Amino acid sequence: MVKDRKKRVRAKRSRSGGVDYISNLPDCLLCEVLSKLPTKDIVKTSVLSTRWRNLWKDIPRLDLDGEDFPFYYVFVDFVNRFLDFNRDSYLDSFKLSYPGDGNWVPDISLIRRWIRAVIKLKVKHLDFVDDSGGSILFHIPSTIYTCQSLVSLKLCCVNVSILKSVSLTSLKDIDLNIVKFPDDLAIERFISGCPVLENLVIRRPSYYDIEVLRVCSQSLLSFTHVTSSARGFVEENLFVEIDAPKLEYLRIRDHRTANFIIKNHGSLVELHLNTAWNLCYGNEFNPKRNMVCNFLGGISRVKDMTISSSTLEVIYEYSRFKPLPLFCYLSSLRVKFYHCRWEILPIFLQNCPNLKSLVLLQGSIKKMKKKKEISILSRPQCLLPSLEYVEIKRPLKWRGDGDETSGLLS
Amino acid sequence: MSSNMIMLKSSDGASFEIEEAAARKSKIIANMIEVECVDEDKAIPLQNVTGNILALVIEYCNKHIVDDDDDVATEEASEEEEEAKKKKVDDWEAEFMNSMSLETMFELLLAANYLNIKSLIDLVCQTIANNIKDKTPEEVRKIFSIENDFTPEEEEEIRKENAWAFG
Repeated sequence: MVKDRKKRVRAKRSRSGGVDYISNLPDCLLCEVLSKLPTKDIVKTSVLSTRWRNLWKDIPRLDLDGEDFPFYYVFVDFVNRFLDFNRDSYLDSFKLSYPGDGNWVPDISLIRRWIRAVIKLKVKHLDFVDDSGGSILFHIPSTIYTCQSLVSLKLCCVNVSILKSVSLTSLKDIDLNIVKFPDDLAIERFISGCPVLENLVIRRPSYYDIEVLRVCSQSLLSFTHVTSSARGFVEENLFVEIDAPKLEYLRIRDHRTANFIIKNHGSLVELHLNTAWNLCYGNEFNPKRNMVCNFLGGISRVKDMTISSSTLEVIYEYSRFKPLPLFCYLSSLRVKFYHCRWEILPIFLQNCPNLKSLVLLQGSIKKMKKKKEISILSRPQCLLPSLEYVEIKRPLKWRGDGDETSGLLS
Repeated sequence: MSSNMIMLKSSDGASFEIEEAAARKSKIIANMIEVECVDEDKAIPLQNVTGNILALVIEYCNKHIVDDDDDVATEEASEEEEEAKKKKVDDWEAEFMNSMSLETMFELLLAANYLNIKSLIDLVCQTIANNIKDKTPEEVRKIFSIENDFTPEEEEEIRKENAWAFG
């Protein structure tokens, strides 16, 4: 049948060449098409024909990268004009990458005026990047914290000022990338002022960061926490506490946080874990035992887990002092190995009695010692009677895949 | 899930049987079902949609019934299964859109708009938008057979107004 359709359609195409269907669409559909494009492409349609001349001004969206402009003043002028001809309408989304004028510092009063203007236009989706040089000088104006129309907020390289009151009653998605908060309480207040928040992504700055991050939300479904690599020479004691009873998805990629606490973890289904709880070589493990114990208890009901070898190392270390909790619900496990020590895997697998799918991913370019690996995994049927699926992924140039798999399944 | 079948009738008189769950992708039809305007034996007449386009709409709706009862399904499915499923749908949609002429594509968009099927409107609009993105105005005019009715002076003027976008 599909073939039939193709034939019919091809025949039509040759006959129908030359008809301008798109310009005959009603305005609402044409605007629907245009709203799927970045502003630059939308603006370019103004020259197609008289039908298109002013349509671009009716799209209540801005999606601009300042790098697309030959000169800074042209960029500023365009954004000003855009806000001006939209001043009587509502704005659906405002996505802006601010390039700066080349002096490494943003024009603070200008951006503040823009952001105030889009809030006044009841913007739903706000995505702002200060790409002027990484100074993180710009303070988001405080009117944003009571913007009732906001549904998603994405900020990068900005400062969040002292928050007096936060009431973001429609906000569902927050993505904070290198955003500075004045203190621990500010971010806590920020999150708890969002009663319908569902998705939260925080990529922490490596400098002037807060020490304590508390995520308390009754509505949160998904949380991603990322810190950049450890600075090495600075002793840090970052602390993250998550209290979100509806949380289903948690992703932690973290090399700095020493202490994670998960409260009310009953609905957690999917977990991506890459952290060593800031335990570097030589760091004492003993003081952290309780924290790791509580953490493992908090995640023991997940169904789907991706775990890095550095996390497994800590769990392995822990298992030498205390038995691991059982991961009874875990049915799918992916392990990312960097600089692998395969012997740390079976200890963990022993505690996953209902594991159905196991995927081993080789993260490092370093060649695995194959013989050793087979001997470690040679009796997995004793460990994993429930296992139905095993896959070992590695860079393409390696040959001989499959041996381990057959070993696992025999 | 209910396996009730309902009948749809195109403007050129062709009748199609479709699962109620699939037909409910259309807000218009879903509304008709809610207020019980649907007579069990009678077909729903769709004045603005021809048979060949309605066949495509039905093909699309049948393919997307599963999306609606996602809760139970996704909770059990692993991330990889989810990804594989999504890719399968994406591939199907790409093939579906690829297989039709421009004329059919625009008729399908009008039908989706009339029947109020948001996801199909989005799919067609996105496909059209992909044919505009990163193209020069000359290329876009050629693809969609748009006649340039500006004088060279007028066109020059408009380009100047936002010269940055045409650079």
